[in-house]
Amino acid sequence: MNDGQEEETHVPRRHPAPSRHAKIMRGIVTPIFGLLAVTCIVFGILNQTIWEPSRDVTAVAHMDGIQYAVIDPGVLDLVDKSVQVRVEATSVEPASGTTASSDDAHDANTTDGATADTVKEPATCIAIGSPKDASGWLAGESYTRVTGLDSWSALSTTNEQARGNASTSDQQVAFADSDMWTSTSCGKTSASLRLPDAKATQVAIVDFGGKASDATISMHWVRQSVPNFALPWYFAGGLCIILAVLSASVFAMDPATRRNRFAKVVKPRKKKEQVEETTTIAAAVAGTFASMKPRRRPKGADGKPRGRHGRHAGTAAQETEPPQIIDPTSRNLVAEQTHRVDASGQSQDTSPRSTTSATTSDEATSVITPEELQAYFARLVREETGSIPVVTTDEPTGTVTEATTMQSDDAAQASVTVETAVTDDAPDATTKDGSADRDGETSADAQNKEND
Amino acid sequence: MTRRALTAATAVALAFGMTCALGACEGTVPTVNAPTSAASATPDLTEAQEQRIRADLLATIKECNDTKDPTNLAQAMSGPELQIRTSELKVAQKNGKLDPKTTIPDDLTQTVIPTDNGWPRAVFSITTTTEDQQSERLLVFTQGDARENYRLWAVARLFQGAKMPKFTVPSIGSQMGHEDDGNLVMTPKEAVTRYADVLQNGTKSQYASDFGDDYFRDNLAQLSATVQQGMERNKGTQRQTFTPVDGQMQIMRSSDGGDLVVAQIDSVWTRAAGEGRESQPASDAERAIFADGKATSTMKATYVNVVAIYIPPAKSGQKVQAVGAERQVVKVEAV
Repeated sequence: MNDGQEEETHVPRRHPAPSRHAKIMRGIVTPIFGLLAVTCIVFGILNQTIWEPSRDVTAVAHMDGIQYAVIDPGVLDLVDKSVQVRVEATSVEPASGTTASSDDAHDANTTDGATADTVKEPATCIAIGSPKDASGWLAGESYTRVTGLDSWSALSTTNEQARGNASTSDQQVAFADSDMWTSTSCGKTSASLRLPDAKATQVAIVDFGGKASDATISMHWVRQSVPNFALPWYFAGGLCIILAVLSASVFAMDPATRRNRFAKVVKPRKKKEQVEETTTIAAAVAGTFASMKPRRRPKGADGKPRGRHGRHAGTAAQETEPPQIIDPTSRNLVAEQTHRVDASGQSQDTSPRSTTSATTSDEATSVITPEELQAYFARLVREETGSIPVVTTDEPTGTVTEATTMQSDDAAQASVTVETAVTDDAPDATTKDGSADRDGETSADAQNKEND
Repeated sequence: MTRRALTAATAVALAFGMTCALGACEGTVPTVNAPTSAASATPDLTEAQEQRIRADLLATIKECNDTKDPTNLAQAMSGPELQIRTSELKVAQKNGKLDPKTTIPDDLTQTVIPTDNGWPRAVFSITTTTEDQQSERLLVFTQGDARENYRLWAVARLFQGAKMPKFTVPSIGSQMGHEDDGNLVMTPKEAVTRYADVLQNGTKSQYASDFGDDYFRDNLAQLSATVQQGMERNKGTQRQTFTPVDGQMQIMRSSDGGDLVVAQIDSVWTRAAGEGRESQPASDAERAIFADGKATSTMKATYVNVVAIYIPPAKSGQKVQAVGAERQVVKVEAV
């Protein structure tokens, strides 16, 4: 396993001379992307700072020889709800035959000055009203329409003639005095009106009081939300950085190498499993032989059980052994058991199980003769009628089993091993009376748990 | 290899293009959206505007009331109300004080604002009761032309307990009606003409059953009967004629489809005393208007009447109902 990993990491190092492809990718493409990334970030910073779109938008329209101007519905709130309209005329020629405008904007709504008899100085006024009121007021007059924005600094205008007939009423009021306007502002040749909450349905109507020459209308908005042009730059910069990194690494690899590499990236898992399997089989075989090892190994004074049981009971004694042997996964218990069953079947099925007896029977299998077997049976019969040595030898086995059962309460994995251990010990249980019930209970419990 | 180079070249071109596109960007210039058709159905005035207009007009009227001088009344009034208030001020000049019926409360219970685009326009406002618990006033403001301002065209005192039709809230606005509106029990023009006939002929009018009973009609009939009794004692005669004034009519459509009509009906009351007696003015107002005139056997008093009539929809099966009125003598002459 370790060898495999090492092999993987060493693969690129095996090519001290990079391919032409890698040279191009690392020498040309990567710097290009790097430069682009830097450029994008620089542009992003510039857009966020000195190139940031201005919050103040001022658009101007020029007109000449016109008395009325109307800012179309939807233009007042075109950029922002808050708008300031300013009109200015260099000079105003008083309109003949029309009623004079109010000379004072503050008296706009007092009625005593409504019908002015004397011709007063023309006044420039801005009023906010509804489109229908504006067209009613302008009936029969020619006027300039402000239709929108041509650019960020210029208003688009058209000259039009309002439909309808001019009023002939003798009760006409001055422009600024009309009831129809929601707000008005007047001045001598210039006027300014600030609208904090302009609506799309509102229009602004401008009366210069006479034919105005060289007049301007300027609209000033303060944008509350400015479009963010820096973010796309940062995004593009980030993409370029990613592309640069990729072209220096993955894209610089030879396609074949990359495929191999990818294959390896994908493979190791399969390989690992394969290795695992092979080691398991190998370990099973080795384990079979290793089961003989404890025989050579001096057995602990405290009566430490065989390797198999020792694995469950404690690993202190096994720490010194090589990992291939002590690795729990490398032990094929089934194979081991089969081997053991075969071995014991060759010798004696009913032979009392003890750590020593099992290993001796293994060893004796190869050298035993029918005569010796006969003698052994005879001795066995004699022993069974007399004292029972099994009890003394099996005592530790019983305690170990119990301890394992207690452990099994926690993990299913353990219960599986316990089951194996119990079935393994089953012959012992049948031979001994004392621990038989207990063992039967624990095995039943373990099986129930497994079923759960 | 070539494909990779191509990819790289495309990426470079793309990045360069983006640089050019975004380098000196100020954002696209916003365009004006075409105003929706709903914009044309907006009320002609806001409530605040109506309040401001009314306050200004009432201030001017109060000024005239205080000075008892009708000279400036034309700035604030027009139509029948101008005639009525001028007469009322003349009476006040004689009697020293203004009749309490001339009071116009400042507070409103309701205003009805039209959505009509053209002119003339009319706004109907209903005030609260007066401080001395007189009935509510129905004020009609009209704007004859785009270059004119609203002026008080009529004031009608609503009858006690009169059931007013419902109108759309001022933020939505109502629609003004026309003289010949259909789908009603009768057209507004017919209603005013027939009501004038009912006022003139009382229960003998052929239209008497078309109109519900109302205070104004009953009161006039009562007055007429009283005067008739007095005249009969000295073998005199009295005759009152009611004539609707052409064009002096404002109509507002209610939310149930009916029309509320406010119209001017002029009346001439001719009283001829018998047995060589002089015919004298019949009231304090007539006396004040007649002033130092030389009484003869016959007296002709001209009255301006303003009536508010509700005409229900044709399918409702209701009668046409007068809901308010005003009456003022404007001219008294001995003939």
